[in-house]
Amino acid sequence: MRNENLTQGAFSFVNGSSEMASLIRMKNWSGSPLGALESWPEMLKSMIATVLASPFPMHICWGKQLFLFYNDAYRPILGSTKHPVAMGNPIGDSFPEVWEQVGPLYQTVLEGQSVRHSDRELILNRNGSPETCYFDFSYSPIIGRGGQVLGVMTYVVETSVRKFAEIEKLKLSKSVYAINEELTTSNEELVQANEELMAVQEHLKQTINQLEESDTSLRLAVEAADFGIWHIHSLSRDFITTPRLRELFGLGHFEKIIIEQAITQIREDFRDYVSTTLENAIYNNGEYDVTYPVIGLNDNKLRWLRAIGRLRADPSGEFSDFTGVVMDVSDIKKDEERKNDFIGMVSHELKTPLTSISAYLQFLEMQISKAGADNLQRPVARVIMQVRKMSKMIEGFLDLARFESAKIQLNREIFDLAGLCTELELEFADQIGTHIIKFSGKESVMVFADRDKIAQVINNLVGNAAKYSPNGSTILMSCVRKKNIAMVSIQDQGIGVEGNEQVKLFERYYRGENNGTIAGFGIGLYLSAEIINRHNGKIWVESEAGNGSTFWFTVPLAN
Amino acid sequence: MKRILIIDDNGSNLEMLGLIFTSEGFEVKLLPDPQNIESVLRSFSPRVVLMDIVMGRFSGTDVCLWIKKNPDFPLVKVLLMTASNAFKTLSPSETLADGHIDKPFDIHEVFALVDGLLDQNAG
Repeated sequence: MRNENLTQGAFSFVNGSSEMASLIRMKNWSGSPLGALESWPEMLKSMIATVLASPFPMHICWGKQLFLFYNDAYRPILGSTKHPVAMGNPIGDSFPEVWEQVGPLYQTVLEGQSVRHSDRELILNRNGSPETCYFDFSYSPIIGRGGQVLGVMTYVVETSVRKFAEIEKLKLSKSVYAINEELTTSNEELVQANEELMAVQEHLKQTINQLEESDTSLRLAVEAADFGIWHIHSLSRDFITTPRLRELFGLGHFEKIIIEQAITQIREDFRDYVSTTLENAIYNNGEYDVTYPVIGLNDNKLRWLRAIGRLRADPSGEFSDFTGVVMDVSDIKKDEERKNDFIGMVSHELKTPLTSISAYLQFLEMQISKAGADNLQRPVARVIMQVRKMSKMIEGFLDLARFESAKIQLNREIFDLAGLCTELELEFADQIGTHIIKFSGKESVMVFADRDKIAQVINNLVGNAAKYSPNGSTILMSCVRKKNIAMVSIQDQGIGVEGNEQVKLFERYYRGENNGTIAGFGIGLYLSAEIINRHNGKIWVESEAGNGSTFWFTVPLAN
Repeated sequence: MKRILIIDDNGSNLEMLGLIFTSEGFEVKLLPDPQNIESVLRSFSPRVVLMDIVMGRFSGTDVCLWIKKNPDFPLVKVLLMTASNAFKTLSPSETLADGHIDKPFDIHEVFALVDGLLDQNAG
């Protein structure tokens, strides 16, 4: 106010209404290097007035010290910390952070040249912290009447916003490029993966084709053989069957059948045997190859079926699949029955004349003895013995025939197996004078089995032992309990059995290779094995050629 | 006198049995079939009947049951014999016979069996 009143004329150059004009007007310049305002050179005043009047950001720097005067348009470039101190002070003092860069430019201008920069980056500290800014500016000399440089005139536009946008754009495009690159790479990988996939697919197609082919041939084979197929899940006991299987059990093609129903269709005398074997196969991985008669549910027709199954554990280990085939063996079975009937009939027909022969011979023997014809006694005794042998063979055939046609059922009862052995030991002592037969068991072993049939097995094994071991040698019998089974052994000191013969021994009509001089039809061991198998027991031999044999068999304990 | 009635459809066996029992001092009556058995049982009154099971259209087991259930012949002992395997599945409690004999047989065993039955009768 004071200045306004005092020096009206001298203040005319800052008369404008702009903020900066007012600032210059109000400031007390008397203590400054420029001195009081009214003493400033006309040229300076004129330049300040020009700057203040411009709507474009401008400033001038006066004199060698570069005293700064700026207009309102320039004001934002100074931020919050440089204004208003910068006004009238050397510009270097206000921009120490960039002086190293711009100071030399001013120097150049003071020497008479102009400077023009576009998008010049400068890091200003104008709001309390360093800040990257961009400017378009020109510095040009203020030339006096005498041509001398009085100061610097600056036009400046801050381009930071545009520049940053450009940078962002660049960054963005760079990252777009990077993404694009990545995409290209991924795409290449994708193409490769696709190619691999196609190769796998081709392979899969081939595999499926092969699988279909093998499936077709399997199905053709199964159909040609007229097999029924079934499948049992060990946990759920789901019973999946083919129409042919249902047909074999006397059901319609579309009727449902559950495993229990199928077992009920099995003829009663075979039902327990099949059911036990089946359970053992599913839960203990036992062998499953059984032949049994089935009465058809709807047609009441009797069919003989042979079923063969195999257990396959699921990879999870949690359950198993029991799968198998069933075939109609009725014709085979009928042939077998006819054959067995024939054997039975022949045996019966042979026994009738044998009865006469044997009785007449015994009568003859008695008469010879009475008459004292000693020279005839021996031959007659021989003939009687031969006839007895013949009777035994015929008996064996009959047994076989009976067993095979399954007319004989097991009559199971609970009895003491050791007791039976003791009984038989006494009988053997009577019948077999050629060998010493000893039974070593003392404790009773209660079993659930057919007593007569087991006796037949022991009889047969001991008979064999006597047949195949030297006279006067010992035959040892034992009977022990082991877990839930009873084990019986018959040990001889005979000719023994070669390893490769040990299994064949129990086959029908099989005879050892080195026993050409010993009579028999190879029926006894086969029958014994059949009897023990029917009991769900096991029969086997441990032997070494020349070192005697031990025959073993097992039957279930009573419980 | 020990009287025995023997019935068998096989002529050779019948003749053989007649011979051996006669030689053992039995009074023997032989029949090829059981058709007239009732009158023979009454007229001959045997102590023992030795009979085959399979005799053409006649069944020894049926005849045996008939004798055993007939109150007129309470003391008659019956022995059944066969060349088949019938006795592997038939028990005396089913046939009601006093003994079973498998063919071919040991004549000494048959004598022993018959003697045993005669002793029972005597007692």
